[in-house]
Amino acid sequence: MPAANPDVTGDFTGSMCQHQDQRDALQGCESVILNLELNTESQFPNPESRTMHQIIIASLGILFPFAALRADVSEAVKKAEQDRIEVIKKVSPAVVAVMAKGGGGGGSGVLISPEGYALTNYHVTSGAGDEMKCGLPDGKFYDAVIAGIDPSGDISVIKLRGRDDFPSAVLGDSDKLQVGEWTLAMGNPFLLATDFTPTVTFGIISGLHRYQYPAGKGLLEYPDCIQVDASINPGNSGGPLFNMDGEIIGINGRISFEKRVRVNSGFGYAISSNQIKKFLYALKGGRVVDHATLGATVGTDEHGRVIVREVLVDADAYRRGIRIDDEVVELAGKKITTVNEFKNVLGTLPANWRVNVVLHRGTEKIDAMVRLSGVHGQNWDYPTAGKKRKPIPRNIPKPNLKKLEKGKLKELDKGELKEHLQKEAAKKKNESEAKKLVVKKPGFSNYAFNIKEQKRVMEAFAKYRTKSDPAVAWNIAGRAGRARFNLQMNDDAGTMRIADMDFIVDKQSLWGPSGDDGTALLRSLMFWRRFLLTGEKALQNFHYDGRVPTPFGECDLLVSSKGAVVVHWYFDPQSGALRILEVAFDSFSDPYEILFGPYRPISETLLPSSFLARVGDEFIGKFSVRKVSIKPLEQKN
Amino acid sequence: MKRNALLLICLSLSTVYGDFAETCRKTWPKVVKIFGAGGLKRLHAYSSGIIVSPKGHILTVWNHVLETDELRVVLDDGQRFKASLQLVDTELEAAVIKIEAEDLPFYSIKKAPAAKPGEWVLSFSNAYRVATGNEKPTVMHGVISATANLKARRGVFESSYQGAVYLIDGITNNPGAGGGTMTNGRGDLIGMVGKELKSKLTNTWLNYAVPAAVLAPLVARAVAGETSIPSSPEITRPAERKGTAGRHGIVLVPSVLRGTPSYIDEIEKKSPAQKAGLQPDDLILFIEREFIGSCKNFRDVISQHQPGDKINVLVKRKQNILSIELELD
Repeated sequence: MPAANPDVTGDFTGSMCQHQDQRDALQGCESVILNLELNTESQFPNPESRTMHQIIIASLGILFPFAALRADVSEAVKKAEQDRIEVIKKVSPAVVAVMAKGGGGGGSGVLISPEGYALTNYHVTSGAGDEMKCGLPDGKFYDAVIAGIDPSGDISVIKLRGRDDFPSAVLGDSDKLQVGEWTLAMGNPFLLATDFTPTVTFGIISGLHRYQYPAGKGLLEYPDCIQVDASINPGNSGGPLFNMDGEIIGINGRISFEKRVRVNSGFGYAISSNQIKKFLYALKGGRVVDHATLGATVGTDEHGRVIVREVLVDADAYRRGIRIDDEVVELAGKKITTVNEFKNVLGTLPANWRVNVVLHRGTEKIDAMVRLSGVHGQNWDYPTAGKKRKPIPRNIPKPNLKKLEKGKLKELDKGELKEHLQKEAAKKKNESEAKKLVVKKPGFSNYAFNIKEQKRVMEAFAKYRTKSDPAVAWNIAGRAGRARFNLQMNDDAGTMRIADMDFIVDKQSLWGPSGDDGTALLRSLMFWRRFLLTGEKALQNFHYDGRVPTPFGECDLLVSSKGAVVVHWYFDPQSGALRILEVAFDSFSDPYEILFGPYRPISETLLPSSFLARVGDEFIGKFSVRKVSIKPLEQKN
Repeated sequence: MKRNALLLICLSLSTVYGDFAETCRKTWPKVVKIFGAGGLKRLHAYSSGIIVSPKGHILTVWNHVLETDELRVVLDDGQRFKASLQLVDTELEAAVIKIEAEDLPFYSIKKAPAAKPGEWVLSFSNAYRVATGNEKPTVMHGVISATANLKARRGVFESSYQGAVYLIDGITNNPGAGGGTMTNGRGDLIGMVGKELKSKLTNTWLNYAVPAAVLAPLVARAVAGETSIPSSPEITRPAERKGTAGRHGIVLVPSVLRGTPSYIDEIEKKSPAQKAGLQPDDLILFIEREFIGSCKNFRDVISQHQPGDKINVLVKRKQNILSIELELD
């Protein structure tokens, strides 16, 4: 277990305008070479000349042989250098200097899409609030707003405004990294670049799969992170770590320094790109995302195996059959041999994801598809300290309006006034626009972005929607295995007959607790019908919850609920089709799942030609749809 | 000369892309994590070591971490061993510890090549205890900036080793990195990461390694079976001296509490205190009839006296009270 405790391996707070940091920085800049042999007060009477000497001598010592022999350097070396220069040229435009409004602090970030989505650290934006200023290497300032946040994983997604052709970089595959590989860290340490061209530091991967403890309760945990020896300093927080292909492989956010000063110690840590990718869609959707727990704790037994110590009875882990003393050998496709590895893999996963857990029990091998629990409790709220920070008032001289009113106005003053009024108007317009861009709601750092993602998914789904009168009932007939099934449903009531069994749902039982499998299936299909007809109004609390893995591949997830009923809708991002409908009637039992087959035009509507129904590990049946008719519900006596 | 330098650069820069990953895989099995004494504030309880024999001889730095009967070594595959201290060289500030194992991958330190300024180096260590169990030691890269003698001035660097070192331009000497492996770009052992040294003048930390050739005789003695352990690491703290005050050469015990009694811990060689006959373990009671109750008092009072002052020091030595004349430099 790495024992770097949060007290000593600090994160950067991003508040790097302060004098302490500058002092620290200067301390760290001093050359050690000269401290040894040349370190006498008399030789360097004042600090400036000492620094100069140090630079000159250090340059001579290190660079001279290279510089002098440059012409003789091999082609391979020249090419390596040229490649590096090209990569830096390519990616620099996407590196962002993130500043709090009013100059309260800052950090770095990186653009990942032409629309202006950028990644940075949560501990950078938490200090800056919901709106920030971002400097790009083109020398311009852009306004930015917060989208989603990951307080546990120390990531925020922000969106820059004002362009739809921002330069951006791509996220690489951090699982392919090797220790010893070269990397580039970029950002704005010590806020050095007033024109926002990023500082580039060059180093190697010092370690992979590192674990850095949380710096607070459920906050800023770095599981499975990347350790680098490239210089990472205050202000680098949130900036990208690139591989030599110019792909983002991590976001730099933390260093080890213990008793040393809070500047580069050669121990920087970056959140891996593969962890970020898992949360990215939810973050773009303005969510406050949560990390996973298994619902079970593990420990090491006397043979060094990772075994289950405890299981929460109401967790999915228990329902999927995980029991005390089972040996965990694989989690989410990664081999597990130590508790650290287990923590590393688990920490990078989002809550509510379903992952495969492979267990050994005696000679038996068990595969369990487990839905993960969350880290944050029910009333968990992310720290809001940063939001209370008041911007530092700037001493900007304003035209004396009183003077102007008195008619003692010169031509120049007129111009000044006009300019001032224009500026004020633009500022107000900007502020009111920005206000519309941030919508607060529990569970979201910015609900405005969620609405945007909901629209995206629903627009892609539009061609599958049914445009019929909601009052008109649907009749679906087909086969369930060897038996026939026939169901009729309208908004609040439905009947279903499979073989010789009848199931009936009325207005009351539609929202009640889970009953038998038949009515649960009928109710699930009734929610589906509502959704096809009324979309987001089918239930309440409609929201987008990111892109998650399913048996059909990654799907966009929409969630809605009413009372105790929670429905998850999974959409294929390519076709826009609804692939899975999952209905939880309460929080402690398995949800009902309907997996839709290929869509075909049936009765003038695009409808799934078949669907599978299952609950937990139990398969209920495969239904093939033969006939759909939309007509008033038959009245039964 | 030019050709040599060119050759050197070509050799070292040929490892720019890709080769370090292979060097890492080759080196890891020969680097160990050491866990021992410490854990108190600012005193790390972990360090690094280099396997120097197939039978489990491990070269490391001589420091407080080794001062325990509960010394543990963790190999790169996660195997844990109890270790014992075998041979210490206080002047080199290096030690060899031993684990009971066979057929370990190891470095033959006798064959270690020398390295030159401008060469790439990689350090492998347990710094900050980032890696534990079967996690791989931290790898850092750098270039040898210079080879120089560690002529550390007392009071600037607390080091008893004063010989040649490789100075590195990377931050290789972090807490717990001492005893780590320094290799060249091809993975040949060139030295051992030295213990942490901080300049009291500039507050900066030194990044260096002790060359393998310097350490080879110690390893040879250990592998031949020699054992020698001092009672405790030699404490070499400088005598304090404020501003223009006279030099005395008295080192008191560490002042851990406000009222720590003013016992002498060490006497600097060829100092006024040595000439006057003051000895370690003397308790200083009075200076010029002023009562000295604590280490702090001693510092306050002694710093008021200038070079050339003759001062009367009253000390308690065992059961005797002695009056001693001390002439400050």
